[in-house]
Amino acid sequence: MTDNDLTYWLTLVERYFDAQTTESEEARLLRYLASDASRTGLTAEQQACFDEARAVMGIAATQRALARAEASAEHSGSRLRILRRAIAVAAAACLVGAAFIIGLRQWYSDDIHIAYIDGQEVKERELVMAAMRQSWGNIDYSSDDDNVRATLQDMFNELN
Amino acid sequence: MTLQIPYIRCLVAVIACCLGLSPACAQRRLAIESQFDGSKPYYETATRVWVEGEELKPYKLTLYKSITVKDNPEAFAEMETAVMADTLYALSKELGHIQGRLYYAFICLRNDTPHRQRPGRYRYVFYRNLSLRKGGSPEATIVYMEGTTTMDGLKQLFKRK
Repeated sequence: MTDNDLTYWLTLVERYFDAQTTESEEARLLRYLASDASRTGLTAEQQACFDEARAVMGIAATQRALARAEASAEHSGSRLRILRRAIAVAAAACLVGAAFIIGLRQWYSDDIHIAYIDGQEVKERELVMAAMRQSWGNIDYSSDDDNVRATLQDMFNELN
Repeated sequence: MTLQIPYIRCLVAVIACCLGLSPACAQRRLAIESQFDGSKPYYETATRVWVEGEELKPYKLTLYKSITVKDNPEAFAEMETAVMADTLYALSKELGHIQGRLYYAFICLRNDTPHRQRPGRYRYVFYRNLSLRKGGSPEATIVYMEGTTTMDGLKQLFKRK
């Protein structure tokens, strides 16, 4: 290793500690510190400088790796949160819909007996049922003879 | 915003399904329903009956509505027109006329209401205009019923009354 090379790397280490290196310079420095060339032919002081740089760069690399892992987890975590929200909203909507339908069925199945007689509203069960029987009587569905007799009589009257 | 679209779509789909089940998706409206909705001028003075629920179970009916109008020939004509319109969709019908006018009508129709649709459920429109008979009282009655009973069942029912 020439003095110029060593001077370059030592300068680069100083710039790294001063946070003045670019990403490509950091990558280059990392490769150098990982190589055997950074461990041989050095004074104790130079070795200590490179060891310190290795330690710091190792921590920084570990922190970057952890940050990337956290970002990935957060991203998938946010998707999971959205999915959970969607499921919760869908479940709530289903409950509301079911309550609506059950309420409507209950409303339709409630007993109703109301009559309006001579403009007056009547809700007493007996009176309403009596009015119902009265209207049945008007229809007189069971009286086949009456129906036939009435229409036949009408036909004969027209013929005559 | 793009991340919210999936569950917004899900919510819209669920709401659409709920609305689809709603009874708002009703069957064809019968002409005689205009006799019961309060739109006719003779509605307020007519005798009206509305029974629904447990009272009708012994008769295999779920709904009974009737309207009886007295001394109103114009109303009789409107009632007759409505009943005749509904005979077009009848599963079975029995009609009787006097002097060209509808004297009685017994009509059975299918009940297609989604929330009530069950096999064998029917709707009935019964009508009689007593004013057309000599000496008959000047009144006409429409009865509308829903239930699982049959036309023959109703004949027996009326005989037991």
